[in-house]
Amino acid sequence: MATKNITDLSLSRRQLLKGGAALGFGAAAMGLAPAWADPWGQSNAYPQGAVEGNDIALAIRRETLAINGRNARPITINGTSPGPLIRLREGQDATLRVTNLLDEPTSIHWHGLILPPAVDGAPGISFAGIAPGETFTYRFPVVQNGTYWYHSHSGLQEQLGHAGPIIIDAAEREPFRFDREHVVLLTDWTYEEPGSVFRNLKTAEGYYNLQERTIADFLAEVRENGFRETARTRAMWARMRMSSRDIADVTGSTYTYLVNGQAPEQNWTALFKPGERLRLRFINGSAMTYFDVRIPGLKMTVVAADGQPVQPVPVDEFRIAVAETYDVIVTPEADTAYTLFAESMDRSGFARATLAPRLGMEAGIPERRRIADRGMEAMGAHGMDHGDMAGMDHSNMAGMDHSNMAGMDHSNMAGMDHSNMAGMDHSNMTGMDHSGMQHGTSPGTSEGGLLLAGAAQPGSQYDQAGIGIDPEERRILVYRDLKAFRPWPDRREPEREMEIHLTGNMERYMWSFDGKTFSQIDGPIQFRKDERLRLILVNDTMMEHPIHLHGMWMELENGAGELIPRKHTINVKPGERVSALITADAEGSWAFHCHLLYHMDAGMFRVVRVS
Amino acid sequence: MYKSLFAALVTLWSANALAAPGHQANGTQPANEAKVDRVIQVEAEEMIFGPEALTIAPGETVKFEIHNSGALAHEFVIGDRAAQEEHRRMMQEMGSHGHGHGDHGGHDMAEGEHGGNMPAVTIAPGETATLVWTAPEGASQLEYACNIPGHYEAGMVGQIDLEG
Repeated sequence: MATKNITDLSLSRRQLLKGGAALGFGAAAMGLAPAWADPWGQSNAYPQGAVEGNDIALAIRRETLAINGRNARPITINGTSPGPLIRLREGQDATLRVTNLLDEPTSIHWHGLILPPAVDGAPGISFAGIAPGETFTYRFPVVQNGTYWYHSHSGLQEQLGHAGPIIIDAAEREPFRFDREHVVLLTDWTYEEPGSVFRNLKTAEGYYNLQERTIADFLAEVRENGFRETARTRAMWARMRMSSRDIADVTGSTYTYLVNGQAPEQNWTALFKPGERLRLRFINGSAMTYFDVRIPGLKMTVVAADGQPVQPVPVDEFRIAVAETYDVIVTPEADTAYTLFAESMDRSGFARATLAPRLGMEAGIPERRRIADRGMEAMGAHGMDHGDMAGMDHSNMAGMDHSNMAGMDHSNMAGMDHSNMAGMDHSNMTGMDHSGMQHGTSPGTSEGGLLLAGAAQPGSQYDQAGIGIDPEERRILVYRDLKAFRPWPDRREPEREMEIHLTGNMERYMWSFDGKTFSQIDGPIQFRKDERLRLILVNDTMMEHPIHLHGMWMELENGAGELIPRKHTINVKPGERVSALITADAEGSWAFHCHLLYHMDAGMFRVVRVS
Repeated sequence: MYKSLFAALVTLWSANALAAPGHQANGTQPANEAKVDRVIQVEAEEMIFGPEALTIAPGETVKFEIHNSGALAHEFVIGDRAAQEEHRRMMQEMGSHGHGHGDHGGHDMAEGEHGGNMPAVTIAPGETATLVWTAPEGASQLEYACNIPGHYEAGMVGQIDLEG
């Protein structure tokens, strides 16, 4: 039986290689593609090659390749990792045949694409996954345009480089102009097996955190703040079972950060002619890493977010959450090289590339910033007023472990900013799942209906760039900047609100929604077909979470009124409360999850059923 | 402080709009109209001007009819590259003051007189505005541009070739 399977596998592998070559797909054939042959052509934008057309074949393998000059075992797609650029056209019918040459099931999810549930590619939801040796054919109409990406939705395969960019060319003119384009796919590679990374996280939270405070830090802080204050701050963090330097779970201690598959030393280079307007399509295809991106010497004008056009915003830097995409326009005027610098949010490393008029040039690498410290500002941002929580029973707050917080003196929490909490409206919280949170008193409760569509929730921080960024230093993109050109088609006010808490226990590496991991819940989240819904996300944890909904757009209520932007992935900062409007027009079952790979795997995942 | 700056700029703009926006300072509109050599129609849409380039002879008086067929307000400003850049920098600074606090972050900010004598007009979505302008002697290359933050960078600029 086992022997037979192996024979079948090798047969299909040979067949695929033959078929792939004949059709002009696969790594070997790529040099023949005209666009690829031109070193200045748009497809040269991405070194892993490109596939396009009405019938695209993709072969998934595990093979030995060099990554940054060192032997690695990534999952490849048509022979490269990350995979080829898939170029589609708005209005076409796409056919993508995915052949699994692994010895385990796989899948491809087309991240951000609006399509039928059976071809969304999340196994176990509306699709069975692709068994070893099997070819699955995805067919769907392409109904949008912009910058997206694809990745495995099976287990931890995404960490092995099972991902790649998607560009969908627009049917009509886009609201900006450019002369040349380049794809910038950011990923985090580890030579460790993803399963072992996950085990390490489970057994020792902070395993990859080499930036824990040292005795030297402690003494420095004592000099600055005095012993008592320092000791009290430390003790509080310890009681909350968190380290104030936990910016990221998995860090540069194991990760090599890549641009289009190339390590910083390899210096992937994108070419331009001085004076040209370049469109850079940034995709964060990382498993776990947020990046802060800048190109010293160049203003970047953000023209699209998550594939959707936005009113242009000139910035010096932007933070890109895992799974987000941003399109920016830059116009390098000088005949010189520029460094594209993508620093990991926790400052444990960076990805780097170069924009240059000729190959072989490079510019300086910016000085790295200090490690950010969550400190008290994270506590202050926590959208709950602890001072007024008398009578609230915290012992049942599933997910957050406050059991050791007895004796915390909130009155002395210097630096906590509660000023934004006035007017928190809890009046609409009936029928919400509080997961056992006992609200003895509800501070700030008031009468009144739902907020108007597009209004920002109290407790949102859309005008803040986030931890470790100094907004005074340079102009940083914030969610508040994102505005659509025109209102999206459905302008109904929300009929209903649903509030979901992002929860976790860092020490046990349990991540969940409303305190329950995916394995603990008993059914899907229900959306009524065609309802207009407000989804409120409340982050009860001390980490950022990029929340992704499959199948439907989330219109981010960032205060832009009817010009609110729509996104497929929304970053929720620690303690933040954000909301999105959803038109539940996509019948079927869809995945809804945190896009930090190990958080999703740990249980921060739900199924949304639209019926 | 910011509010009053904003008010001052609006006032400036109103005054400017009432006066002729012509480049030779105080020439009156009818006088300019009388000697228009050519009417040029310009389409302003996100984030492009059509046509994308123009050739105009020095001394020629042109009446621009600029139609905004997009969803956002745009400006049509004529000046050399450096003046456009300076104007853009000012617009950006004004915008960044209001950053994150409402909708007046530069987008409602109509053209003021800063940047010297740059002929300028702001066009609301769906509207058509006109601007009469005589091409100067002694310049070879000018730009027509929209300097609302981000618009120029995203593509709203065209070249005026003055060498014929």
